[in-house]
Amino acid sequence: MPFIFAALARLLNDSVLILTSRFNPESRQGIAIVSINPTQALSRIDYSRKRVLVVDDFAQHLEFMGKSLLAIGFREVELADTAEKALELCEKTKFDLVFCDYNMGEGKNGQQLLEEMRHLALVAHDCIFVMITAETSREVVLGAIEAEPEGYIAKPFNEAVLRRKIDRLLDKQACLQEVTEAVHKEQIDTAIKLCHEAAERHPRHQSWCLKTAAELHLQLGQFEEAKQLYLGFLDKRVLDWALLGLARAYMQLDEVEKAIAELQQVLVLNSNCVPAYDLLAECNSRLNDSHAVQNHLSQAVKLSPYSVERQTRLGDICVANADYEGAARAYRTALTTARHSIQESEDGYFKLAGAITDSMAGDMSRYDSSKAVEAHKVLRELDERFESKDITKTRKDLANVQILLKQQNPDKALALMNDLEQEELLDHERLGSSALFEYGKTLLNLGDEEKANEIFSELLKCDDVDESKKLLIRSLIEHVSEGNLGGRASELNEKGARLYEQDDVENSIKLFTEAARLSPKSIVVNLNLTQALLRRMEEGDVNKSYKQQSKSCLGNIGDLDENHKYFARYQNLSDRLKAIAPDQILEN
Amino acid sequence: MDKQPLDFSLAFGSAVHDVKNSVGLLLHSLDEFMSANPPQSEEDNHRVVVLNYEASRINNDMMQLLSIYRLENDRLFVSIDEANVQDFVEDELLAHDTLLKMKKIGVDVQCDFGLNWYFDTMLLKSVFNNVFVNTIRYTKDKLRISVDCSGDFLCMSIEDNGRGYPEALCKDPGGYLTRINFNTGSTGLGLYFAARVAELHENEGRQGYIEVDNKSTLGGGAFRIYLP
Repeated sequence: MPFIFAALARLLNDSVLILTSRFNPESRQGIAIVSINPTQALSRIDYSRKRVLVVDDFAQHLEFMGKSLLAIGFREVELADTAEKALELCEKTKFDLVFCDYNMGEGKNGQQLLEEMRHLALVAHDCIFVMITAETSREVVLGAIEAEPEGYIAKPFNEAVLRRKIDRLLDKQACLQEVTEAVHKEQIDTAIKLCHEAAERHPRHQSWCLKTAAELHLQLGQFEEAKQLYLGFLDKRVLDWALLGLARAYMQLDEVEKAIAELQQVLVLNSNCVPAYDLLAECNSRLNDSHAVQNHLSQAVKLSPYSVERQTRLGDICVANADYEGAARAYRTALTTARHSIQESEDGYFKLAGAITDSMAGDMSRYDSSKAVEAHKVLRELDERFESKDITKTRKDLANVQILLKQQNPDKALALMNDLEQEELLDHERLGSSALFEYGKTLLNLGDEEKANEIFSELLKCDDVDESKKLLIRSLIEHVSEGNLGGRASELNEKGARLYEQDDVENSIKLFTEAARLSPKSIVVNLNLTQALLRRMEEGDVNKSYKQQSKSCLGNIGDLDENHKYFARYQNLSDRLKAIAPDQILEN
Repeated sequence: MDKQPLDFSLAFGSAVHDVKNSVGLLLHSLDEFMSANPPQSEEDNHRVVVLNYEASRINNDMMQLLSIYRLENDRLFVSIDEANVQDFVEDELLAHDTLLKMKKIGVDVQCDFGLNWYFDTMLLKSVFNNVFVNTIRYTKDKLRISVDCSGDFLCMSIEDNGRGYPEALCKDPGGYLTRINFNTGSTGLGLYFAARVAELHENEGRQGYIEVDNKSTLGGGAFRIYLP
């Protein structure tokens, strides 16, 4: 339709119908008569100095937009038929207005383009971004509120509607300029004050002003003030965004249960509300319910799969829940989405390789070997994408140690680990929090719970570790304290313990030996194995290899602190071994 | 072999998208053709009106069909937020500007200055487009849009001075669809959709509704939608 309107307008000497509203004091209760007056134009805006960009993959529509904008009075109009071209143009020109079609075929969609433009600071803070939508795509558009555009315009529209839309947006911008300037300069207190003033002065924008004030209060950590504003909105009408804001305030005020109740109400109104799922995840993360967190993040990801940050958080929480396949899926999506964008990071590759490794059963199966190949492939991709740094090399070595352990090659794993230690490459400060976490996990897989725990505790105190990562770390610490070695080693250890209790000591030794191969540094496994070996020896089976094996078990544990919960047991076993084979212990 | 069930909504959405682009292209070509060969007579103008009107109908019907399908399958997404009523009405008039001018219809709008209300703009636009285009077709030469928010409801009405709505429609405008009358060409789809959209607007236990009658202040038909 737009084309015919534009054409007819031109036929009729460009006498596009213009509406003017004037307040009529004589009419009842402030009713204004909107009259149709073709000669009177809203011409106070100087379009000629505004720079406009239009992005649309549909060539004809692009052409229509270009012609219409010129007819409206714009002089600097640039057209782009792909997101990439739009980004290029943005690097050269600071646009005042950007019109972008949401649905752009194969490439990035309008929302992704908007996010990237803002992220790369390719658009100024006062640039007006208008998303062109079709009703068919509005679920997606309204659901994914990562970054909101300044306005929407629904296809099909004609030149007159376009002009009116632009006028309204420019008018709004002028009314609220002081506020946006203050926010831009990070003078938040001032901005809040200006919001309240503007709300009085411009009743038409009152909601926007108060909504913005509430958001700014949240930003400043003034949760009580934000709560009051949101409650004020909700007093008049139940609105999803106000419930969402209220929930955010409740959560920060440590009223997590109340926050969850509000969020559930949001989902009744709008089951596609991605931020509601995000917030539910955050609330449950505070309640330490990692399964609920995973559940809500999965919902959010289903609706809005292209957020690298959210996919990464989902991956982290999957690891915490020992859902390694789920983790690998999430990390993989994050990686694919981030590829060739500024969000691509080495971390993404290490996380994916780690999750694939974790998903291995450690049973030398064909499945395991294919997973090992996959993990190595991810690490090779990393090489192709990034210049190799020293720290990257260390992180790759740590990843390899974990793969080797799963492949039941503890000797090689330990050797590699020793090299890293001897070359002093594992200094905590050198590693930084991401690599330090990988170091901690490697130690855990080696069975060195003690050291792993120390590292995890250190990480929990780091400021640059986010909430979902902390939840993962806390869950790992919990696993450790439950004596949970994870996967196959833990299974073997438990079976061994059962056999030992049934007095099948010989077979328990076999299982403990296997577990120790998978988790060579595990205190629990080494103590169990030593105890079983000692029992055989004390029962008269003076097998030379048993002595040797017990010795190396206690050696793997190293020196235990007197306060360690296993110290007494360690001391007892060590004494008993000394009694049986004094010479060998002394040699150590 | 198990067949993946077709997501009809998706297929439908994609078809609507396609039809819209197609209608757009069609009109764009016409636009270019007319720039090169301006219409010389009243008759030509009339043809343009018909093209415009029919294209609007294709678009509106496709949208409504998609929305109704989603509604029936509990997949219609309703997003109610505050909107300026005057802006909404203005946009409607501007969108049908050409049609109004070419049919020489005088429009009178009564709307509270700066009045804000809560509704799903996109859905209401779909409702309005349909009723509006229909009214333009059947009115003699006048049209009145008035907005009133006395009480708990916002009432938006579209009145004309045409021959009015059929009696059967007035009694049960939302249910008319079930008795499609192919002889008159009226399917009642637009009003059925309007009634459903109105119902989707709820506030504090009150539900929206529509009214259709011939009590127009202009002497013809009147359509009213009430939103809580």
